[in-house]
Amino acid sequence: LTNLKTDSKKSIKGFDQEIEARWRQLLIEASEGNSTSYDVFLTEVGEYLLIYCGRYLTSPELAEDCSQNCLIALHKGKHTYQPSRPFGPWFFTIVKRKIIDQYRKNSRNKEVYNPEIVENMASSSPSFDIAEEVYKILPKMDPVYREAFKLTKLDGLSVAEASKKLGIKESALKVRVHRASKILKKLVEEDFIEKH
Amino acid sequence: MADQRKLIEDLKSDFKGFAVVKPSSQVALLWTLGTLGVLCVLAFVTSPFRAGWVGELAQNPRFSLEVLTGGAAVFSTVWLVLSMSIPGSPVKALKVSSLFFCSSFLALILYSFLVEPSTTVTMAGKRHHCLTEGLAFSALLNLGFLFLVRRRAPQNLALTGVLTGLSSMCITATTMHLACMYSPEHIVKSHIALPLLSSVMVGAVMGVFVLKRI
Repeated sequence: LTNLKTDSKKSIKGFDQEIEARWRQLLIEASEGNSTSYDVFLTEVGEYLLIYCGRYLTSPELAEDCSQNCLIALHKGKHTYQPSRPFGPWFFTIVKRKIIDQYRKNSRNKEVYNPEIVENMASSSPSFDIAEEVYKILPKMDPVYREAFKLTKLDGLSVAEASKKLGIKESALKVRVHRASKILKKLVEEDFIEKH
Repeated sequence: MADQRKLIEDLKSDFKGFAVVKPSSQVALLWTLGTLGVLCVLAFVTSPFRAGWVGELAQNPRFSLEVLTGGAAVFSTVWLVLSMSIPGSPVKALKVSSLFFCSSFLALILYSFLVEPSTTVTMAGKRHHCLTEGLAFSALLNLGFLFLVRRRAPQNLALTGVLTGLSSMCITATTMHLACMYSPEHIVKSHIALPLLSSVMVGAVMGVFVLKRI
């Protein structure tokens, strides 16, 4: 973690200028409403992030988790990129913060993130019914995420209907549902560990 | 990878374009001038300004320097907060300038208190509830500024809250410097020390609750 700060400075300096110029251009085009450019931007950045996060996080699952959080953060903060400023510092500041968050989360929930536990859950306990567990655990979730998850996944509303009901944008709802799924997965695992 | 592809599909599904945030310096200037203007009007409506403050500003260089430094402290701190909430923005020079103007403002006030007042000490224009007014104005400005910063991408929430509290306190202190009675002791106690403590503490707490990290 202590190396991350200096590493991120090195990353900014060593960031391929061609890639930087390309992503900067894609983001500028996206800001003008070009969704294809935005798709290309997210795809390329997503691939890069998987490798970049993999350098700091031990397991591929964590790296993927972290790269997805970075993508969400970049999506939410895309309007803060000023075309007059270099792309690298903006990009790596967001990514660095997300990796630090992942470290902290990971150190708090070490055993929860053990992939073996997830794999063994269903096989080691025949009585373990995931649907039942989800219903039991749902009240423990933050109401913001719970409501988004319940409306789309349990009540069967479409994204448009659910976002209208909650009074938020569709993209915001999708982000909430995505996070809710992750939180739920973690809570189910925690519950499983407590019981066994 | 499949998860990631799905996430990307979700993120771009209802994508429309977006407006890039305005440069921090412009927003900072607008916010500083706007809030100083609004605060002056509010303070004037609550109770008349101290008589002769225009003359003091024009004829007394030390007094006008205090007011100007107060304004500069507000502007530099607001600019710093807005820049800090843009990831990767260079803020070193802004930190130095904010620290310089805030400490200069404080030093000038303390000099007036400990050595020699910058203008004639007078009870004229005394506002009976200037401390309460200052705290209320600071809290309102603080909240407004936090909502402005929230639209950006602040990374350090508590520090951002502290700095918004500091800038709000500087705005009210500068306004009260013109509006309330001139007594260095009263200024240090009621316009600076108590509002500074409360604004910074409230700012830190409000920062954590009002702001959210992307």
